[in-house]
Amino acid sequence: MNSSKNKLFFRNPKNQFIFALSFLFNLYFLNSCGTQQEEWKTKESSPHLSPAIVLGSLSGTPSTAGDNATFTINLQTPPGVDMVVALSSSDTTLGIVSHDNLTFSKDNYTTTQTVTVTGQCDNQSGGGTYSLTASAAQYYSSDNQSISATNKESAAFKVSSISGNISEAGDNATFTAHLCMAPTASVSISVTSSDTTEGTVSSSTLSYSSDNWSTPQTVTVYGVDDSLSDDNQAFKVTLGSVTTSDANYAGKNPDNVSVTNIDNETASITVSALSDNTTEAGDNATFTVVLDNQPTSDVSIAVSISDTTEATISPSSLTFSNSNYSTAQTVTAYGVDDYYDDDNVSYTITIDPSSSITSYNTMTSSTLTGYTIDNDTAAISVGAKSGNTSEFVTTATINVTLSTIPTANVSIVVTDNDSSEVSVSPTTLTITSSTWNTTNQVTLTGQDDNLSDGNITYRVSFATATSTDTKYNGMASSPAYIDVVNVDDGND
Amino acid sequence: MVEAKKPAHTYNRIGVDSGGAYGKYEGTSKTDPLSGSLTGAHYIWRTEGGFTYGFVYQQFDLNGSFAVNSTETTHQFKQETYSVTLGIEMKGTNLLSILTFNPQYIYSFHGKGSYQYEIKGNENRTSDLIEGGVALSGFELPIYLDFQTIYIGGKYSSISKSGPTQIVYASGGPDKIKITNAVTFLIGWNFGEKKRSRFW
Repeated sequence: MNSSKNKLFFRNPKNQFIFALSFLFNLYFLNSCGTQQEEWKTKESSPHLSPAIVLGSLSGTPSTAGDNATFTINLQTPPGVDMVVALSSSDTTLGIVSHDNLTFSKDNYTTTQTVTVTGQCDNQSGGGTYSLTASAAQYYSSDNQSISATNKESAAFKVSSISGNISEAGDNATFTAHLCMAPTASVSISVTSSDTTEGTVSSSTLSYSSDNWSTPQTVTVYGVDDSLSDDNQAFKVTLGSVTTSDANYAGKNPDNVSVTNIDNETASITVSALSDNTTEAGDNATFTVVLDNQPTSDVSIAVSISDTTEATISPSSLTFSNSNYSTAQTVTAYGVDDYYDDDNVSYTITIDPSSSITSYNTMTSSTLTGYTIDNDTAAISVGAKSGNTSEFVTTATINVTLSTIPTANVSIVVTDNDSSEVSVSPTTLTITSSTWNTTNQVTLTGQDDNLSDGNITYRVSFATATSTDTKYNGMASSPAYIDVVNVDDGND
Repeated sequence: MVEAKKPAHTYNRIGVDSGGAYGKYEGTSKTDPLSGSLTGAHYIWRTEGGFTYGFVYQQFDLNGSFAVNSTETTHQFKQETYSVTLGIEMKGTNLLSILTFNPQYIYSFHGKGSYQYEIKGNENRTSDLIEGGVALSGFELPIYLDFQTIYIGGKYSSISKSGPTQIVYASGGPDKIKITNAVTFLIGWNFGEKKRSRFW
């Protein structure tokens, strides 16, 4: 019955419309679950924009006193490849830009980059108007973009940098100075050296009037020679004490000029040769050290040796002052006695100066090569027997020692020629670096042969040694054998 | 004379349509016309009373270009939407009864699209592909000859909302893309228990 009711329900057009409307609204709400109409965002530029360099306006007015201003730059559309935008000033005597070029990529083309414009004081007429230009040849349609800048006249001093270093060898240097704006009255500037032991100046005063204010006046700085090894010395040429009735300049001081006087006393030391070789037997060797030039402060010299198992040095440090710099100081190398047959061994002595004077710190260390003469010879000594053996099973011993410390274990095979009379233990004697000169005993035990054979002499032999120490490998013992008597017990 | 009560029946329609579509790219300083194609498919239920409702899939592909300083810029816009429709089927009872009008409202519940422009000339560059959600709504008027098993005709669409809300660029804009109207040829098949019925 329900199905017939449903048929009746859907037979009514009004119900059909309500059902369809409900269907539509249900899907409308489905809309909220799916992707809806969105705002699209992109790093791209609108297609209606053409490539162009966008320059911002200048933030202020640069001046002859060095005041600066800034402007921004970016691109209007993304470049196909990283774009280099060249920046230039039409008159660098009036103003300069902080960057020769800026690079924009597809990712940062809209990000403004800042350029600083600094007013200059190099134009003979003071201030003036000039243009700042940005160009990018590969950014196809962009004409060069320019903005205008004005260099405002301001009372200031233009002091050039020094032309170079001066030296104690006679090299001079120059710099120039002039005013940046015409004065209303004469302007005098005093010129002095902050260290006349290092440099002097050609003029003590610079004078400017309304006629010559923009003409650079040259000051020459002369290097002063001294006899000290004092390194390169920096000092200043001081420009100050402006004398004028022009209120614009009164009370102002130009920048000082930094100068360096190159020292011509090079940092050097003289090291003598070693007097002789050192020996393990106690012979020493000496050498001397002395400075070649007078230092302005103490110079310490560290002395070290490369192999203290072969030689030591004393003292390990020397100090030279500006008063004893020319007196040679002696260093002694002492040979060290060891118990190795290591032949004559070389060592290196290093002489390394240090000081608050830079040139001594940077100079190359000196070295000497010496030898310690060896006094050790490898040998295998077989000691005397402790006694004879007997058929009462009495024993005897033989001790074996080395004359030097082996660098590896030394093995010696011990044999006898009559095992019915004696038993030898051990049959292989191993001598180490710790037992080389102590107890390395071979024990002989008399054997009872149940024969009334009287006293029998047998021989205990020591074979040539085997070792990875080449000094001992293949070496024969001395003596190579010992004869021992086994006393008969007479009971058989 | 007593007229026998006519039984009311429902039936379904499934079909495809294809034709031209038109739109515009609206920048802040100028508007460029767009034209291209619309391809779609539909599945419609018809009630006994003549109401129709169903699902529609549509794919638009529009292009347009403009030239400045010997450089031509071409817009390339695509969107596809899944929509529902609600309409009413109107047909007569005489010889013209096979001529059927089916005005309907279309409203999308899911859509996505993409836009890209290409510059050729002094500058040669293709922009990044920009993608996102889109919508579609408007009125459509299918007019077709409704035979017993197939129907064939055309459809005019007047679209009120389409594309993204706007495109926000790093520089310039924001710009808008709109599809305005479309004219398509349609063909489809009737199935279900179809009997002649009328709305008026």
